[in-house]
Amino acid sequence: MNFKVNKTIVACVLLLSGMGLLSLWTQAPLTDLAGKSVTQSIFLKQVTFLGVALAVMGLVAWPHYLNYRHLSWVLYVVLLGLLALLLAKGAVVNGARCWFNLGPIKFQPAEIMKVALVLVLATVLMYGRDIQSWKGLAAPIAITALPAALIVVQPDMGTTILLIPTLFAMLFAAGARKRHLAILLLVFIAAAPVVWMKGMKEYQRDRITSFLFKPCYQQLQSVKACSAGAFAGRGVGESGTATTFHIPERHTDFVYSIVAEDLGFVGSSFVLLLLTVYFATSLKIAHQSREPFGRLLVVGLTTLFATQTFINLGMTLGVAPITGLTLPFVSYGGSSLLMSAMSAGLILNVAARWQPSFSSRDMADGSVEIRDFNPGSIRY
Amino acid sequence: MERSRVMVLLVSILLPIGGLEARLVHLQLLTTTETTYDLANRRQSIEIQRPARGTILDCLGREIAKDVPCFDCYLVLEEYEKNPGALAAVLKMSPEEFQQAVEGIYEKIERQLQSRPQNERSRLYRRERRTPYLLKKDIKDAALTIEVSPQRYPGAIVRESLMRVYPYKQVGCHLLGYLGRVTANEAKFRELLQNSYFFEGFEELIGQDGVAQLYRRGAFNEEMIGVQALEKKYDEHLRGRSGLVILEREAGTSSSRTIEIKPSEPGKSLELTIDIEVQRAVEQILAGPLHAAAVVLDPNDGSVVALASNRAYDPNDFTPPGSVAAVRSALQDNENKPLLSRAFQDHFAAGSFFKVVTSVAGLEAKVVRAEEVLPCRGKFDERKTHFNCWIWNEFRGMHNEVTLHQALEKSCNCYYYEVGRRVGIESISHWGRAMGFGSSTGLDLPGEASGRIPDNGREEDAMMLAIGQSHLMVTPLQAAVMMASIANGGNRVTPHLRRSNDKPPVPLGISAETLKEIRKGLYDVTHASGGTAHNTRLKEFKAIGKTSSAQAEKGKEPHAWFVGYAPYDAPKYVVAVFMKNAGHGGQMAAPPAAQILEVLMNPKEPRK
Repeated sequence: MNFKVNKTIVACVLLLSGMGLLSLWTQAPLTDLAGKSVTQSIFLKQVTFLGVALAVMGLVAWPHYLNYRHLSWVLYVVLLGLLALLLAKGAVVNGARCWFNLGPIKFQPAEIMKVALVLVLATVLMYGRDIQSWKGLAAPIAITALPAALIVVQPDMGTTILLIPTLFAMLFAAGARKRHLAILLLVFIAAAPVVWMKGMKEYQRDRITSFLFKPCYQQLQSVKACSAGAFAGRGVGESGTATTFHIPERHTDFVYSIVAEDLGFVGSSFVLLLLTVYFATSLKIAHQSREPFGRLLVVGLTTLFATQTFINLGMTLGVAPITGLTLPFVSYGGSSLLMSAMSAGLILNVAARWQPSFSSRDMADGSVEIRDFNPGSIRY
Repeated sequence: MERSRVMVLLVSILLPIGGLEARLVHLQLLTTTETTYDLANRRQSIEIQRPARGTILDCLGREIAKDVPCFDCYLVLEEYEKNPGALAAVLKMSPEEFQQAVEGIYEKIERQLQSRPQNERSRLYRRERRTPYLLKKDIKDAALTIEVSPQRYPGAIVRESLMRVYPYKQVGCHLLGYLGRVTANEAKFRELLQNSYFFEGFEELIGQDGVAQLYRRGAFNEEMIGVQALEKKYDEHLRGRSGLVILEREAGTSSSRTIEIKPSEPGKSLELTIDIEVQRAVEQILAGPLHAAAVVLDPNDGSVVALASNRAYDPNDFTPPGSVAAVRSALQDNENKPLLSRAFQDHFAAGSFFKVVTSVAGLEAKVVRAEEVLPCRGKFDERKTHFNCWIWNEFRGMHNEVTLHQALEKSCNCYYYEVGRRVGIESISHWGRAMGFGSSTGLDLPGEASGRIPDNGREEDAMMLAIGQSHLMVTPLQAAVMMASIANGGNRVTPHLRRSNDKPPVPLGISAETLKEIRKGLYDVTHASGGTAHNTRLKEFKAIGKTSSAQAEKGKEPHAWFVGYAPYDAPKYVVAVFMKNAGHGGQMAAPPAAQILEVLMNPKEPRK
């Protein structure tokens, strides 16, 4: 079988998660109340997560991605149901209902919904039906609005914000008119104050204002730590000594500050470079794919995770509000790692099924000749 | 066409990446000197900001326990030891005391180091020597001296803080309790730490790691919790929630800046049913060489107006910094046991007032009618030497023929021997338990004694229990609860000190007829010429009740009791007075009860 592994993507994934493990290992020792170190157990957990995630990445890459089209609808509908159920029954953590508590595992439907939504949107948009008209735009917008509404009332603003650029990028890549997209954007901006005043209840507004303007102690600390890294960094394992106390959630949401403090400008630029290469390679795969579902899928996933990366790094570097979004591959946490790996698997899948591109001109001058066409070789 | 659009997306992704890289350049290459300079010269430490503990108010809103501002002295070891000044003198500490306090700080640092790996210890040691530690609480005027010329006292930092004060001193000490350092009870401390008792909401801000660091620094060792009485019972309500601040100091100066990252929430105040002035008056009335206790209760809802025991301590001495000498002498006073409230934490022989319960049992079981005449020949039975009426024991006299009213009025034993014999011990015990004896009354204070009541036995035991002797042991509070159910029409009340805490009275199913007959008997005790307490001022206050002279240890005077209520037509107060080994209830306990009622009925300030 003709399966080509895109080595750049794999290398980026491994290096990024390696940086994650490094920062987890070297950060100022975490201890529990009894003074016992928990660094080791956290590290081992993450190694396990990584093993599982890489296996999942391989598994997801294996069957032809076109088979996921039908599955995507099932996943989408089930997750919609779960999101609705969550509002009624989920565990409340920090005033938000984001998780189902399944024994030792915390299950966060919104995380999976991100990927499921991209799959469904790619299915809907792949044939580009009516994409040039308003009629064709209605379906994808509705499909995005439904989960977005359910997630925003949790409230999980961070995840909701990710969905919007993802939708726009996919519509754009599917060939929607720029004029339409511009109008949509304007309508969206204009609608925001109206929804704010009329559509929301007082407590919902409170939640959002506190999300935007809550005390940014963590962020101040994080910025200081990044700054302390200077050019070459303070050395591996030195993070946490400049600031007399630690940055909350440092190994999850603020993991980049560890890299920036320990390895300085060099290290943090390196991580940024890895992420850039990962996203650029993904988009190159999308560009090279002649098959619209795959192309849209990769565009959607790349936009999704790139946006998440920007918001996370912006938050760590003090230029974006705190949203609780993780840094793909690097942050500690099972579900973040799993979903990043799953999307990498899908991208690898599309890359592996790359078809040699040719145009009618190639055929005319005889440089390409169709000798044998066997539709059975592609399992649609 | 669509494929080229992907390239447009690539550009739109590269742009923010460029922005982030620019931010990295700005932070790590351009502004970094400023930051490192910042870090080298500033001493930052995270500190807990403790909220004011809630005020305890009596029923008229008088503050009986409150937090007042005070000044504490903290010491930065590094700066102090470079140039030790005359700190001990200005703090009015002896050199030994001062040395001890400094060693205490070293111990704290040592304890932190022990839990850390070897290679970190020297760095940590240096850091902790730059961290301010509490040296002395409530330094009073010395604060001004230090603040005026800080360079003379290097390393000393004055901070404002709060101190628990009990303005009424001993008054109501058994109800208020006091505060203590949480570390005094290691097991309790562990348990509270497990429950995030002192650092609720900290983990979200500084993480488990940050909390662990605070713990290692001993930040929670200075936490105070209520160790007795109301301070203990309502600790969670009163304590509020701690906040967090970052304290930034410039090295070598005393200027500091605090950044609040979590505001503290002050404790809620606690409103009591106690009237502190009545409490004070009752304690004064009880003062004397004999151990005594008194209870004043509202029979309608069980709110406690006063609950006094005449051996007291000053909670101000017990709350740190306090007075070690005073605490030691209080704890070693085995004769008086000032920490023990005899009103509800100790039990005693009850005696005749228990005849009220026997009357209820007899009348409800219909084994005796109120107008039925029973004989009293002084001795109940020639063969039983112990079953004598008190009048025989003292005067070789007898009551001849008595009805229920007369039996209560004159406290005739023989009448009740007969009732006890007829009704049986189970029935008396049942009513005794129903009316509040044999188990704690549900008062909202820790350490309530439950007393004792026999549940079964021979006929002789029934007869002894019928007059309140035998193995019956009661607290003065239980006596008051029992009388409250006679006063309020047969409902069992739950005595309580917190105003909003009233549990509704529970009907006991005593018939109105029974209550009427018993009340008539109790009326005669204070009003009829033969009543055991007629010769007192009790009738001035329309008080009715029952006296007791309970036989206690051999060779000592009996315990004197008076348990009653006033006014009899519209009961407002149940009063129970207990005088240990004092003599006859009518002579020794009834007069103080009258004095208490005088305070209650003719208050200097109008009562609510």
